[in-house]
Amino acid sequence: MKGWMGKVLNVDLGSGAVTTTPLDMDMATQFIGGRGLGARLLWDLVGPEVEPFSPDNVLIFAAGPLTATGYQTSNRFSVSTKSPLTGTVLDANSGGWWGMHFKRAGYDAMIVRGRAEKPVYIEIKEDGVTIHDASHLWGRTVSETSEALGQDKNKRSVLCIGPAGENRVLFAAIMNDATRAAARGGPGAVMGSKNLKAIVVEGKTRVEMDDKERFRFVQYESTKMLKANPVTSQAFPEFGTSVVMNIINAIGALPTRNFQQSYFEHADDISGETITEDILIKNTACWACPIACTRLTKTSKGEGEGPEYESAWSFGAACGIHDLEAITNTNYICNDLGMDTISAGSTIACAMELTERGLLDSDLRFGRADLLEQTVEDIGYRRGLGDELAEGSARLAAKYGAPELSMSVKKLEMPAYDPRGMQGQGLLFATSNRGGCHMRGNMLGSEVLGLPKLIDRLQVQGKAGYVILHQHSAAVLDSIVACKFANIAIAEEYFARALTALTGVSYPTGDLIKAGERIWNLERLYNLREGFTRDDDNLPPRLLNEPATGGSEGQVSHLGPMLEEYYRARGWDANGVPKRAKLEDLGLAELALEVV
Amino acid sequence: MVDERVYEMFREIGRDMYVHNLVSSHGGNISVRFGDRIIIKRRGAMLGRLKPHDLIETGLEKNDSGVALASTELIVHRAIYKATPALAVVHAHPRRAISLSLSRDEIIPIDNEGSYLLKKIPVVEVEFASGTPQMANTIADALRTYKIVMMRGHGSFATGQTLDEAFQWTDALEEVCEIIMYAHAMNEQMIEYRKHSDSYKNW
Amino acid sequence: MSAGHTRTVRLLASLRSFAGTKALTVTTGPDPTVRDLFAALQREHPALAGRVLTGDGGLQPGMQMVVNGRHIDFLDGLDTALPGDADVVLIPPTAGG
Repeated sequence: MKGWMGKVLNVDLGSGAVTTTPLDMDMATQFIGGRGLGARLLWDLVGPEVEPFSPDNVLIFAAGPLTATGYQTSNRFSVSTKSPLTGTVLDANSGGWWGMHFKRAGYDAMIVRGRAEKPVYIEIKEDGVTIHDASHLWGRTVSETSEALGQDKNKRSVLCIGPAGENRVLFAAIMNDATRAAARGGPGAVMGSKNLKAIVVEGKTRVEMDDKERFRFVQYESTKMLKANPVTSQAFPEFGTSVVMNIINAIGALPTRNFQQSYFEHADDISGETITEDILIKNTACWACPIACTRLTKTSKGEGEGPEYESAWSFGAACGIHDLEAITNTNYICNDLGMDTISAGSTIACAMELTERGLLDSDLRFGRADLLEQTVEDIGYRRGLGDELAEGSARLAAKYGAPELSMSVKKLEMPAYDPRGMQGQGLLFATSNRGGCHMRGNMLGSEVLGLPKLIDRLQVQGKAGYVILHQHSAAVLDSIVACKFANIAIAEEYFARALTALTGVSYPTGDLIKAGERIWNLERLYNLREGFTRDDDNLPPRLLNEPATGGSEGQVSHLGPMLEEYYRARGWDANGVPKRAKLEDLGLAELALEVV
Repeated sequence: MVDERVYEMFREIGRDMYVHNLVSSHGGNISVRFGDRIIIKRRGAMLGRLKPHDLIETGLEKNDSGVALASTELIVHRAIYKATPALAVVHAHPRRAISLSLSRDEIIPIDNEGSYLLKKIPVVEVEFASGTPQMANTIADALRTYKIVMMRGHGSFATGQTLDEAFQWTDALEEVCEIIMYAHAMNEQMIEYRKHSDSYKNW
Repeated sequence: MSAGHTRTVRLLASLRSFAGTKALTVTTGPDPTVRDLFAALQREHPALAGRVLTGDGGLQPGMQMVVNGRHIDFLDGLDTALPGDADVVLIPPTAGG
């Protein structure tokens, strides 16, 4: 079997032991790599008795079979762990160069266990793995650490945490190649709890291919798809991801002032069009990516990357702020401290509403752009009120007696789509197994952009089927591993054929999607084992009761009937537990014995 | 009762299929999957003139009241939904594609659009043509790998996220076959213009 | 011509750079529909219309027209009425994350 490197690296930070074990190929063909492999390993390694910050929690870094092959967007990797923010199974996924170099060092995955006594970093080269002292790096920012360890995207990639990870901010990110982030759910905090500051990789081993000629042909046809698609060939390169800001606002689905409204009167000021006109230097790309959605930008304070759509929204509309300069600077700081911008912005928005309702004594009020940068710094360093915000919006809102004001699902802050204006997206957030998230499937294409075909965003009947399909596709993309933006133009069929040609294992499209279903159900079982129930597949009451504004005026989320349809369509019972027949069909029945 | 918007979708696609000569007056059938339910054209209804009562709702797994009225090929649609991620299925009798299926084991487009969209359409053969389990399994199995397949001498089955998408593959297939027929009839030496054109047969 | 006989269309993304403006106002006549608006676009802004509309006056594939937040496919299509205060937006094929 080709495509996989066949090796897993094991690092025990407690004992300092480093070993290499063969990749279980049966497991790999079933769960593929990346997120799927990570979830399967995590199932065995981290049970419900393990606290997220315990040395017994693990960090699993995993490439996929496609990683480093040169296939379009084959630059990604995933990090799996038990989330300190949500308590769910977690994987966060990132692009750049690190994943490519890691795989070329000869590994499919690395499992990091234990806790180092003092700060360390790991250096992985083809001729060996060493653990170095990192005391001199502790406390330093992401950019400082990357530079100190010799970041050079062409041969040496640095992955690290910033002060936020060290300080166990519950939504701290793991950063790589200085500016790319595996951010959601707080993997950086777990890394900090292990006293692991960074992982440096160098590698040159090429990935072997089963049928190189066929693989290259699939790649050739995929290139045609990317070039022909107006999103990947024009909209993303020209305007970046924030091109959707004005669109989502026009339909009344842009969550504003902590989701009190779904229309932001100043959206244009923080849109992709304005970013391009006012602050863009140029666009740039991750390794092997022809799309190039990344924004290199400048403000009066300096240069950096972003903001992406979600970040422009979280520090912008969510906080009632339309000062693009302040938003961009805050985004730079958030990246350099190593934090998830969605959770950071949404938690600030929550604090603003708590303050305006007289429940919290602070200066944070909607529209206070002047406080953004300082607040984000305070979160990263856990200073003053920042120490409380560092716990995320769910814990913050609960502490001040208004848990309903946290705009989160399973304690993970929701991204920039209002479920009242996009019914399917609401179901997707409610059922996402890492909490409120748009990367576990996204209804944007189906409900708004018409990719591949437009369906009515306000329709309720039949939405479960689309949500499930997108959830499985996302699980596949996260496991092979490729970028979801490539999937805007390149259908699952192409990835299946690329994977088949690469590995020599036959993956008909239908079977590959079924692997996505297997991964989804395993993650569900993991959460059930942790004690999550049907009640956790929910949305904040505001979205179910308070009508939306703007282009979705009067709408609320109809989660109830959609959720029922969803469970039935998935072959789960009324409590959201997979039925025996479904588990047997997916080959999970034996694993599930301890849960179901 | 089926949602009005769902009926609209069926009516438009059914009408287009008839107008495009992809089915005769009472031929072909289309369906969508909603969760664990299927909505499918009623047995004997005319695709070009669908009325709201021509749509039948039934279970994906289990038979219920609707099943006696549903299209005879319900069994194939069910098998496809169980074996693939499809949310919509279009079954048509495209005449040129059927003609080509009589002499070929696969249809490989020679035009640019067809190559781009479909690459290759396999032709499968089933002895008893309509609504048998063998037919259902053969078609469903082929659709795990291809988004549209031809059943020799009978017709096409296409999958998609929406009826619109499955219809697109069907209409594209018929265009592909028409072009092949014209080119064949002209009997002139073809000039290959596509890079890696030999690779399409391995798709 | 009274203000009631004109309608403003907001332009997004590449349509903005193409037209060099964020919005266009066209003269439609009384009680216009989307069809009337498109006809006015053809008359007054033929270059933009060529980019957005098909020969028979419909929207090109992937192009979206949203009226008060709703895609016209889910309203009355080309017959969708455009009241004077309607928020009318033209959206080229795009996406985001």
